[in-house]
Amino acid sequence: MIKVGCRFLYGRTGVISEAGLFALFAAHRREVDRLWTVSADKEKANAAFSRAKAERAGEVFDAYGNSILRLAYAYLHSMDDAEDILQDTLIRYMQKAPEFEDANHEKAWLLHVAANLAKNRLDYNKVRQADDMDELAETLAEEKKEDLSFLWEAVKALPVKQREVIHLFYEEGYQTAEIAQILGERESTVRSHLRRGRIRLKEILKDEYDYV
Amino acid sequence: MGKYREMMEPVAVTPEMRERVLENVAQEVAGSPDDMSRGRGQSGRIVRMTRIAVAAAAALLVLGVGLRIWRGVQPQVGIHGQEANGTSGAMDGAILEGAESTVAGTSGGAADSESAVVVNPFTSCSGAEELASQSGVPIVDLRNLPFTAANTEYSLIDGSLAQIVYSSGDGGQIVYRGQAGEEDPSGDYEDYKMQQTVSVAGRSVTIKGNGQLIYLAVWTDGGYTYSISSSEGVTKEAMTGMVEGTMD
Repeated sequence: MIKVGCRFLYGRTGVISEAGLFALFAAHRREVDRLWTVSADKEKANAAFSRAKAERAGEVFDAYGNSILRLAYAYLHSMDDAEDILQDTLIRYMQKAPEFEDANHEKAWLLHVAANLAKNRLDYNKVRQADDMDELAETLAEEKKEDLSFLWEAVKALPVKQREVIHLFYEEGYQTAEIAQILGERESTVRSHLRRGRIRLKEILKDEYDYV
Repeated sequence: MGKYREMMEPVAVTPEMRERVLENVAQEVAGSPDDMSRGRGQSGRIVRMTRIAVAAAAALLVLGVGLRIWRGVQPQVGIHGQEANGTSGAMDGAILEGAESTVAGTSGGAADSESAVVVNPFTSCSGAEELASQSGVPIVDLRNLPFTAANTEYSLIDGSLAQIVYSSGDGGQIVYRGQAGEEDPSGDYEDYKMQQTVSVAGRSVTIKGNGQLIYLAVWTDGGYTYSISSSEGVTKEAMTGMVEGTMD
């Protein structure tokens, strides 16, 4: 085959023939055209895939954005940090593209990831001694909602383990079995944190306890 | 509960935040040409790392075989020594499994988020009969509900806790749970102002609530403990009526 090919290209004289040169160019052109087509198809497919991903990210943001943001804020007390956690949670979601049995399962997964990311950030914040902005405290103070300011200060004073359980119980309305799954704890541990958190809040808030 | 939610209301996503976050997410995960080239780079890295890993594994294999041969020629090492090695290996395995468990849990390590897996504890059942069969807990549908249920869900939680949730359609829920043993299965640890023990069909039932509204009833029957909790609260008569309906 090589011999035949060479003879076709170079002829008997050993100099490349006009027909051979033409065939070489034609083959080259066909290959270039083919690669362009493949490349264009790939780009189209990639663009469609990216659009679908962006749409999905938007749906997840709209459905669970507030829940993730509030959980992260309950840990970190900073809107910037909470937004970072929301963003990183969505990135994890899009990268892993997990399958879920239903919407509850999906939300639990997202909150689980957000809680872990927030706890990691909490450790980092401790190291860097971050200046706590706490926009929620500022907003409640500006709006002169003393009772809610008092409640938030009391919640902030709780240990993290109690605060996360209190948040998922009161904000998300989860039962202890569900909180246990989200936080990767035993239900009895969650119950214990919830009970202690409530007692601690009661001590701090005294007569204001019913606000919870 | 209402005050906590009211307190957290100012913490909310905004349109600007939505735009910002989704743009960053898209940049991170979208399959743009840059990503394609990055993907190729990653493939290259994976190939290189695979080669390194294969070489490292081969080196470890040689080292392990060498060590075994060397130990084999040591006169002091007998059967007990080999058993000890086997135990050690098993323990290493156990430690590794423990480490994996820690990663799968929520100890706060960075790896947690990367490998986050939430196992759905709820197994849906088609009805009370299937739920009773799967859980081993004698449980039937509640009678005398305070509303007409718009939706009823039957779930087995963690393989042993039977749960039936009746939803009214306007936010009201009655949750009926049962499990083996004497532990309160309700998961409701609200500090209610009122707690009473009443007798229903000859059985002792603890009811809890605030004012005229009862939110929770817990009782034990034949080695199983049951609970009925109401999200909106019901009258004492309505609650004891539901409990009584389970004892016929």
